[in-house]
Amino acid sequence: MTELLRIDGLKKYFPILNVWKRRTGWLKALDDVSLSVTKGEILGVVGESGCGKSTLGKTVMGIHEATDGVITFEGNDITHLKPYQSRELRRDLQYTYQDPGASLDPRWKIGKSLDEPLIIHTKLTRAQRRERVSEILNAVGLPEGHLDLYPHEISGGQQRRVGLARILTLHPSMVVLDEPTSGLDVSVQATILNLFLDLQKQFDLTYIFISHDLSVVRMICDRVAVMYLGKVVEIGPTEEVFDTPRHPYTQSLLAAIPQIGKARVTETFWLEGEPPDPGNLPSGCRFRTRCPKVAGRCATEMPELAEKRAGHADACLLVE
Amino acid sequence: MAELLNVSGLEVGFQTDNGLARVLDHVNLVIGKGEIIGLVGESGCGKTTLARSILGVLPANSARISSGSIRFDGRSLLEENAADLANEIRGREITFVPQDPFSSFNPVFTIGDQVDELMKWKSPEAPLGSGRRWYSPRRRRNDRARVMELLRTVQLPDPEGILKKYPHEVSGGQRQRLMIAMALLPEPKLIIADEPTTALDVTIQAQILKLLKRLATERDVSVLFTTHDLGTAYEICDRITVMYAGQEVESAPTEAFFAAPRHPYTNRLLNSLPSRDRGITGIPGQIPGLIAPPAGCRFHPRCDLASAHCKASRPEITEAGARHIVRCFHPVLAKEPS
Repeated sequence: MTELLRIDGLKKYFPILNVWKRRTGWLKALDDVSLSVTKGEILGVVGESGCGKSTLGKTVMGIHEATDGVITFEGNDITHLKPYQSRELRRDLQYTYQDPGASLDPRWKIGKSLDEPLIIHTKLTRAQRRERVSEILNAVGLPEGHLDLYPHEISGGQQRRVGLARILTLHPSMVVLDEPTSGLDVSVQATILNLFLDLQKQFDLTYIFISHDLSVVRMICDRVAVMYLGKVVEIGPTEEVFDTPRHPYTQSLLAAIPQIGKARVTETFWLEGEPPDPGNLPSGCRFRTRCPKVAGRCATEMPELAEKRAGHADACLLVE
Repeated sequence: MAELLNVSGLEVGFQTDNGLARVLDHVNLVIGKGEIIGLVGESGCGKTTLARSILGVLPANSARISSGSIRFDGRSLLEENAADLANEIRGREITFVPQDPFSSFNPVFTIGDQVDELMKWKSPEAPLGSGRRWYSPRRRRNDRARVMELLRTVQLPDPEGILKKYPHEVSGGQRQRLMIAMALLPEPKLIIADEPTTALDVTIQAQILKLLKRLATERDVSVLFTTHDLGTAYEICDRITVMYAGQEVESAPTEAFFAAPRHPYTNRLLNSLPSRDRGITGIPGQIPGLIAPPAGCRFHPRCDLASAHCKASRPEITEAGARHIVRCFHPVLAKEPS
């Protein structure tokens, strides 16, 4: 398996400014994140809101500039690229926004939105572009007639399809999907997820799948990384992480999913409270303020992500 | 179980530029005292419109209630004087927990101000009637004590401090806890919770559901819980009603509902939940437009089992078991429990 993307010690700090624009601290959205993605796999990134999963996707894309660390894509360092270089890169590495309804231009017809990336990135003629667009449109399951509609005239599920079609016209090798199914009804979500899997086979894609919905991640991802307050706390093959979660945070996250036919979460759930303020982090392990298993040394030692079983790493001092 | 709310044959339409959209089509719903009812359906199926009709807050200039009745605790909500209902029912007997707790607070007042405003008008001690009113210091003190007690019950950290804060200073989970507290303060008989956990993270959602269920049981309050997520409905509801395109298509006690769903739509909905064991299947096609809904059964264009009969005539509610009703000519046979 070839490694497509490698992230080493990635940090992204946002300054916290007071009223006079003076920096009073750092918000550590990503703090020393390392992981790698092999070609053809789907890596899920899960965590609660504010854990840094979207920042991770955006930093990989170059939308945010990394504070520290190295991102390698197809063997090249892409951490600090000049604008013209990153334009080149975007042909291979693409990002879909959470809400395609908001990222499509409301005054452009769908056809024009789909044409634009081809005009920017390729030297195809008008007829060739037209052909490529209809081919993609077919792949994502939209009728040809939709080219003449405006974004508000189509449903949310169709807008997602357009968002996907828009990036697939360039045949990227990797796509970062940021909460691609949030806000969709389950029946629509099911067809969109099946579409992701089909397109992955058809176009030989690699996905980073950012989501807060664990049941979706479980269904479609090969590996999963669990984040908490800017750190990866557990990473491993999906089956293993879901069947035998090691980190207490992963355990409580999994215990919170309602499962029809199983014991009710309302009777069994133990976790209390909410994540602490990311601008004012606890010392030592970041999860210790909510952790049911907390011990004395959690407050003083910072746990590092360590591979304790083949391919399955966690960052907890108490897990052997 | 004593009946608290009875909606029968309710028909609501919205006047649009393209014609009348028939959003609710002869909907029936019964809620017993202390019962938690889940109203499940996809977006656009009319669950919010039903909740709003019960509260009496449909947009007056476009909504038309053409037939049906809503009876609540011996009163007829559609026939009585609107001003009386606003005073005596809405916000007192029936309260509301919104989906998005952020846009429901006024950003320029502190949370304490907004809780005080609620208590001034809707506290159990507040006299009925409208107009300017003197808020006596004694009643203010009593109300404050009641507020503090409830804020502690919903497990808000530092209840005194939180009343001095502005809405943007507290997290989404805490805002939703506040909303639940405010819905309980008037000591209502029915809480309408419109997707109260949709905007929350899963660990917070579990806590909020736990809280809502405990409080409703302790205080013997009925809850109408609308959601699009069958998993959360399973968590807290005693009975589940599924809506599709403005009609209720199936209603059953939770256990029976998940053990033996009878309506084809319910089955498709359950199969579209992500699961590792079997692949997921979406529902082909789209939700029909409500201005000219399909004739006959509204689900027939997307249904595998549809026959000519389904296209021509409209299925009525039929009994399919103990307290289990279904609106279908060809209900799926009950499976043997595996």
